[in-house]
Amino acid sequence: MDSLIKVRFRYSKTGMGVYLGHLEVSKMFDRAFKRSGIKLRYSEGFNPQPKMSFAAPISVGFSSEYEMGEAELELEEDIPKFEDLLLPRGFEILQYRRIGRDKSLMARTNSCDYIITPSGCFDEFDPDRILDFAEQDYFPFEKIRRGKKYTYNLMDYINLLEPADGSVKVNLEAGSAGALNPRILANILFKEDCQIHRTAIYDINSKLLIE
Amino acid sequence: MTGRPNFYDLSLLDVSKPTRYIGSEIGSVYKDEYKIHMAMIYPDTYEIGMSYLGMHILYELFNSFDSVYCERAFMPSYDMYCQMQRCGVSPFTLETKTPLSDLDIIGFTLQYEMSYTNIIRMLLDSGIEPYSRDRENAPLIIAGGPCAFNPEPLADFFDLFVIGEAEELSAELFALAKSYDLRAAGERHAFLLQASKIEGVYVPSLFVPLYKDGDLIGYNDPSGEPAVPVTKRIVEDFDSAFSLSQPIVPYSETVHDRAVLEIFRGCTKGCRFCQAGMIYRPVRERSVETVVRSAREIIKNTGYNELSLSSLSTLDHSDIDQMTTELLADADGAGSVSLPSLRMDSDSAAVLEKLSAKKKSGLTFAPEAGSQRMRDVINKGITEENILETFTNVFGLGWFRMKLYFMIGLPTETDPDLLGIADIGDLAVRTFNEVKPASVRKGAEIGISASCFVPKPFTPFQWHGQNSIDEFWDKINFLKKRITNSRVKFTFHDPYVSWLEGVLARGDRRIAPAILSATKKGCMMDGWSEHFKFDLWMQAFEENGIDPKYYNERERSKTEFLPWDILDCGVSKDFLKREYKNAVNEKVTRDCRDGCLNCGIMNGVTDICPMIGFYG
Repeated sequence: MDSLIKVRFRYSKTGMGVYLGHLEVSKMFDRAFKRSGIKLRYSEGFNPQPKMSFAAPISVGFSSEYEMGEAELELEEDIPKFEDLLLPRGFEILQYRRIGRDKSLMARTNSCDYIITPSGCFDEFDPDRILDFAEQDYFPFEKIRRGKKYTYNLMDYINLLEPADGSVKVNLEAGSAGALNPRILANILFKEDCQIHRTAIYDINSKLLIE
Repeated sequence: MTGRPNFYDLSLLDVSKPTRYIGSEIGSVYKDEYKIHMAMIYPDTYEIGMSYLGMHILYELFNSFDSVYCERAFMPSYDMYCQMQRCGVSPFTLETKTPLSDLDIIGFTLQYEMSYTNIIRMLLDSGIEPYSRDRENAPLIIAGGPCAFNPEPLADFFDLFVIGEAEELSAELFALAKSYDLRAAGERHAFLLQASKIEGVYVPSLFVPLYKDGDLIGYNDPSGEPAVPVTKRIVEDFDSAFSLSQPIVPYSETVHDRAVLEIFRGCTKGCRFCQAGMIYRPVRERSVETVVRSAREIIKNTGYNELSLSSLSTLDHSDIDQMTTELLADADGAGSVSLPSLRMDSDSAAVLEKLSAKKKSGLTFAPEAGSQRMRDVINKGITEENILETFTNVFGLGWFRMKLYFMIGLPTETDPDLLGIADIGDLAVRTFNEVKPASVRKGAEIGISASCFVPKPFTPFQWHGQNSIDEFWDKINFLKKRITNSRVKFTFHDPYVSWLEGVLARGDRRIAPAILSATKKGCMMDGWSEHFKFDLWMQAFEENGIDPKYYNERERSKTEFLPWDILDCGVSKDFLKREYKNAVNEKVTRDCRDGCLNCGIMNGVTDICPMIGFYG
């Protein structure tokens, strides 16, 4: 079992690809691997599932240049060329490398960078308002969990919040201790619809998941 | 780009399963250069349309022509439909989101009558005049598929119908279409005149119906001479004909989430109720070699793990045993192979055992009728012994869930025939309890499903008067009382839907205004019980002075001119009459592999039927 091959790969999810849900993405990759002849490992049992995992799944509708997956492969001499994977429009493999017996992607994920861009049809973008918002120590928001209402401090989940060219660049908590969906922040910051785009995922040491 | 609202004004996040509307799937085609821009439309939802093999075949075939760019369109699901209405977005193609009204050709596939209002709805929502005679600057609107074998209820809406198989015909049609501006009414008409000369093409505007005393008595051509029927088109050499290699791979789960492989066309069984068994003749098989090669290619191009073989009566393929063995043994093939339908005989159990080593999910069989007498009437060639043998074999192998399909309202049916349906359910449960292996701890789960028989054109029952809605309900209630076994679950089809299907299936051109009225009143998705509005349909018939019973419940005389007599499906009217007589006399007709029955297919459609002298 020492010969386990685990590959971590980064891909983009843009265009019409943003409408694929997490399960659809994972099924899409399963088939893409099969098409390209890259042999994934499968779980045992009646309904074998591919040994594949993804970090911090994003909501349907967000675009991303930093999606992260990991796949366990059947032993081959070389790591197959992931850039040859035939993916639907809206998906592209950007990076990949072999990794060791790492902790699972989920366990390693700690925070994510997003760019939130308001459509601009209601309000003029005001950088000072964003800066003022970022200065606060406490901003309550409510979440319903298992039928009970809890109040959280939004600022605890925001590591970075700064205006940038009509957009807002943020770094949000995404680890096991708690995660903030950027949509919640976007709805608080802006009245109108926002485009949300992920640019990076970091581990607990604030290192990118793949470099 | 015009300023009208389009796809990009919609919020896909507010609808369920948005991947149904985005295109871009593996296998979808994007082209920059072409002469003819068209859409192939399945007039139902994406899931249903994408589960239809013909969609994938024609899409790949049409796009293989340099001059053609063929996209897809479907009926949106209800939530999406409502949003499109609110935003004023008209129906669009999946690939480039082009409004249908901007295309050169729109092709609909006619798979079942209950989708007719969806077709008209899509035309109306696209701002396209529904009647072909009213269309000026508009796409050419064409159709094909099994329901095109009685095109008459839709004849006034369409410019052209393809009768039969499109593989070879489409090349000729597109070659011709290239030299016309199909969107201009004048050129479209000139094109249609030329296209009508292609074998298998029916241009309804060139056929003028003649009526006498309220009955259709024939058709004239534009010069006033009696019109010559259009003969259906087939692909003679099916083994080397165009074969699907790159099906589209949907993101969301469709009804059939697997690769589908067509192994032969046609059927020799000769069931008298079955339209497909008549109109797809003659039987033409693909060789094991072709099928295995094609399977490997499709698996490689799609990444599917499962493969399903497709045809009528699949186990009838001459080399089915060798074929399944080779498909299962192929390391580059699919992990598992399944069959769409199974015959109730000894071969089935053997094949089942081979194919389903792992999963023992449910099985489906279609005895179609409850009594031996009734099965002889419909020429469903299975006996009580076959049924018992099948139950014994499959339950003995460890299956516990089984669905059994029956029809009610068949010609000459009486109470004992219906009782036979309940008896077969009991027999299944009893046999299960006797033969189930010790490892099966569950009880039997038997489903009995009764559909209301709809007589179809080009079958021996095409003259039969359909049961009334009350008669169907009486039979359903009779069965409900008799099917008492707690292990048997009884379900039935809505008689209102089947009765209306009976009108549309055998209607003539005079019902077109009712189809249009019903659509305008709000009828659509008629095949979905939650959307079906029977009352609006009845209003539509009444307002247009149409008695629906004239078309469905009336027993037709054998000498009557039928609306679809303007087409020649190959099987002769004499053969159908002979078979109707045999039905009434409860006389079984053999499978024609065992000896030609002179059905007429060699008289115009093909020179030599491959089944001739099959066994000798």
